[in-house]
Amino acid sequence: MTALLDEIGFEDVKASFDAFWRREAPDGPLVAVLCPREDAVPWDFPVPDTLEGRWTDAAYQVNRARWQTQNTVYLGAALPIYVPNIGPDSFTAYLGGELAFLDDDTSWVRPFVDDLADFTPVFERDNPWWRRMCDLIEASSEAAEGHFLVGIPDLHGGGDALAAARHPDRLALDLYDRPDEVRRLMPALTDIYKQVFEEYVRRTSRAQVGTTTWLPAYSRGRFTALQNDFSGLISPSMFAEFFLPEIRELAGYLDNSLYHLDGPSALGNLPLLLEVAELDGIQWVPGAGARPMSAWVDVCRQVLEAGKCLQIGVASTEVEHMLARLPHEGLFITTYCGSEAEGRGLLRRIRPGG
Amino acid sequence: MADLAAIAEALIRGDRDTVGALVQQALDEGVDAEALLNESLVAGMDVVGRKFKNNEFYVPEVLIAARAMNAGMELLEPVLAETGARPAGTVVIGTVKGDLHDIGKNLVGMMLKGGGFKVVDAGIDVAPEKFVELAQESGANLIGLSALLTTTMTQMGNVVEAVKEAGLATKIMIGGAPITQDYADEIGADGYAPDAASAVDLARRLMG
Ligand code: B12
Repeated sequence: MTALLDEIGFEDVKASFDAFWRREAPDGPLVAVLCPREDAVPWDFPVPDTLEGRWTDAAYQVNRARWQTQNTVYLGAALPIYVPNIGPDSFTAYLGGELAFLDDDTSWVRPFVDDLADFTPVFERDNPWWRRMCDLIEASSEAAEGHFLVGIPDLHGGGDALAAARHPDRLALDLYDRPDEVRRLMPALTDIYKQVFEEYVRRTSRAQVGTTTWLPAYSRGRFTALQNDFSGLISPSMFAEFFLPEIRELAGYLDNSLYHLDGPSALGNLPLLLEVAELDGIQWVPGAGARPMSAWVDVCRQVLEAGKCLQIGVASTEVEHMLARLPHEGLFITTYCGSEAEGRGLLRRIRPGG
Repeated sequence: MADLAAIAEALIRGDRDTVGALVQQALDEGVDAEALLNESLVAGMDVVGRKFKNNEFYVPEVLIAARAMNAGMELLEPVLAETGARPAGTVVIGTVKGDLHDIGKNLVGMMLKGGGFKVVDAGIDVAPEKFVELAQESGANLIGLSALLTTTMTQMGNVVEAVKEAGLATKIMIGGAPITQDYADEIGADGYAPDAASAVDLARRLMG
């Protein structure tokens, strides 16, 4: 059996992403299409009976990763990626938070910092949640074998980690009551972010050269998605004062970076982000219940015209509409089609030569 | 002479010490507690709500204003209770089952308090039966439901059903980023508001 990554032409996809990071599109627009495979393999593996088991059992997670890649058709720039995941608050859990699992899709850390002044974040390698994450990365990297890539786990550091540790409402008050403490903590958290990222890269590098993450772009160097969802709740001036320095620092530290901009309430921060020279680009997510991507052409243009990369998830029915209205250099669209035939048809229409 | 506008201004700035001091001074001077509530605290929170809606204020500014309001309310409440003044209504507010998002819910709760309502906070991940129980216990006029996930907004219909089944006359208003008026109509909720300031207007309207 040919390894899946060879089958889908990973080398070509790598070259397409090289061009993407250079804000070029020599072979036409960069579009990743996922579709369900028609001859789907039925699920035939044991399922742990506890919720925590389903999140953390490495054998089960590996089976799921294999099963998912087997049942998906990857077209265009789409890559088979498994991202080890115990939830977005995992970073905060490494600092001493207790992860709670609410259902199969949701985990969170209960706020545990009563007073910012008493909080000194330390990344302990023997933290139980860190150990569990390492087990997931190890097992999946071993199983990957050219069949799928292992992505950098979702990393909610900095402001999002503080918001999780404190509760967002309390952190919002801290910005007025204890600005000095927030200023003290942010560089410490940035430093831990780098340590955690370093470990992630080292451990996933067993599976592949280069990096990818839940945001399914690929870089031959060190890439991940940066974010600060908490900043959607605060004014651009507070964002600039407390949290933008971390984004700039991390964007400079990574070879490639895309900032996950979540929801209309975060749009006020976009001009500031576009001025961060170190940052490659933006992932724009309109947010829950928001209008479809076609309603956000202006925002998309603003990003691309500032010379930044843009990643957007678009309904398959809107891909052509968006491509007709946006420059293709630095643009990366992900979409989902109901069948392989539909997916191939879409790609033929948008990349007639390819 | 008590300056009610100055109290509202201090509230808008989030200056709780000044609000506390000025409210106390006004009470000492014998200003009518209900007038004080409406013309200083409620009026101030109205401005805060509007500024939030217009992106002049963000969550931290609303929270420090609400905290300043509470400093005034603490002084006013015993006096209001003594004079028999009644709140504008009682609202049980919570985030539906399976949903942990509470920033929006908390803001709506604070604005309702600022609007003179008594607010019973049911918290997050609240089951339909719990809403019914709290509404019965508190004799609530309204239940406010918040959901931020498309997967949990369906829980709102279950609360509407549970309230009906329990035979309560409590009205239900809903909100949260994925919610629309159409959705409220579909599940038979009594009202929808897109933001915290409009939530207060809606609550007043539903009180009739
Ligand atoms: C902060 C946040 C979190 C925090 C919540 C912290 C907390 N204590 O609340 C944390 C990190 C815990 C979190 C977790 C998750 N989140 Co979240 N989160 C957000 C975020 C960034 C902001 C939400 C927010 O607070 N907005 C600000 C407040 C002020 O706005 P609001 O809630 O809409 O409230 C206003 C109005 O809607 C209205 N309103 C609200 N309630 C009510 C009630 C009534 C009665 C009325 C009248 C009006 C009203 O008034 C409010 C004030 O004006 C959004 C993204 C976004 N930008 O919207 C995602 C978002 C809501 N989350 C999302 C997801 C997927 C999740 C997780 C599943 C992630 C995961 N895999 O773990 C979990 C789910 C946890 C759970 N089961 O609830 C998705 C939802 C997607 C969808 N379509 O369903 C979003 C949209 C992100 C995204 N783009 O994908 N999240």
